[in-house]
Amino acid sequence: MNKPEAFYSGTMIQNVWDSTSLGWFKDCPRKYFYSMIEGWNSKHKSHHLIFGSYYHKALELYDLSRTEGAEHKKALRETLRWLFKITWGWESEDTAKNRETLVRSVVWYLDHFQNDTAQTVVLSDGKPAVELTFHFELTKEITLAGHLDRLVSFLDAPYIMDRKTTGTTLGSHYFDRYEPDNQMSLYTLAGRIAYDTPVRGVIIDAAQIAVGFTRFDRAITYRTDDQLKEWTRDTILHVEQSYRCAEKNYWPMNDKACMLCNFKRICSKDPSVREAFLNSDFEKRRWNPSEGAKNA
Amino acid sequence: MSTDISELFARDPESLTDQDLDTIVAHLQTLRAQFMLGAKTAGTMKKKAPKEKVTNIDLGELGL
Repeated sequence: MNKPEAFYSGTMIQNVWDSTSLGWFKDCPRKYFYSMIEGWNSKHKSHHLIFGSYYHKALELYDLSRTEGAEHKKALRETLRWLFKITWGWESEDTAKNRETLVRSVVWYLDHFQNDTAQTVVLSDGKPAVELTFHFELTKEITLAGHLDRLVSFLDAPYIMDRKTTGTTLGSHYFDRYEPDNQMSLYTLAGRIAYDTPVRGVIIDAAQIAVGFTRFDRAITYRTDDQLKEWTRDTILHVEQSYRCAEKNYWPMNDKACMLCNFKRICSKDPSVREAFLNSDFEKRRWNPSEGAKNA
Repeated sequence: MSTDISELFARDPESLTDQDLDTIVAHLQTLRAQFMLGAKTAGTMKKKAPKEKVTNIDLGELGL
């Protein structure tokens, strides 16, 4: 599959959007400018991202192996063999998210959901619907892109399945954050349009990673037709606003969304010294919505 | 975590056999069973560093 560039050549006009870049703009145009247009990232790759990425990939390998006919024990061995190799030399200083707790979490997840009623859908080409890439045109100017963990059938209805890892205690307070939610709405829409499947919403398989245990919980976030139409209308408007910012080459700060932002310490400085602080604390790694890694 | 499991985690992954992997899985499944029975730290993987033994201080050695 072709992987289109995010921007129209030589412009700050983004034509391929994923939930990450759209989320940045929705949070704050300045955050979007620093992250997406200029490509600034923290110099230290987060152990949360590394852990989440390995966790996703390991379970994806297991799913693929099972759908290709391997029994649980064989699929689990293959998964662990890959996991031990890929994490060889990974030194996480985090007591909860490290190599040992990663292996524990994968084994415990597969134990917990060994007799899962949610089954991977087999696509019309005979391939299992696992780690699916999507690109589809929302309008002539806007393409939406991303990755879906799995397309599953659960109680005779189709859903997207998305796996999350968190340090947060699981419960209604945790799952409430996904209603409404940019990523879950996009994934539901993608399931319907890109995979032509009447998905009802997203099954969220969450893993709470602690030092002494990994706990699992599952919840479903539904999207109706009208909710998806509303999300689509809103998205088009947000993207059009980004085009106006690009035309003016000015990205206003949303100073009501700074609390958990990586760029808080940049935006809190005088504008004349921000570039120096960015160069000191960040490095440039451009995000491509067509290639974006899975996050936690 | 027993010494054997720690050693398996520390071993070059290229040398892990199917039996080694099965041993790790069985151990982790046992930890999970303990967790499900209420042991909240059953899955702790790192050994705690032993506390240093406290000994009496001989003030005379300080040369005060």
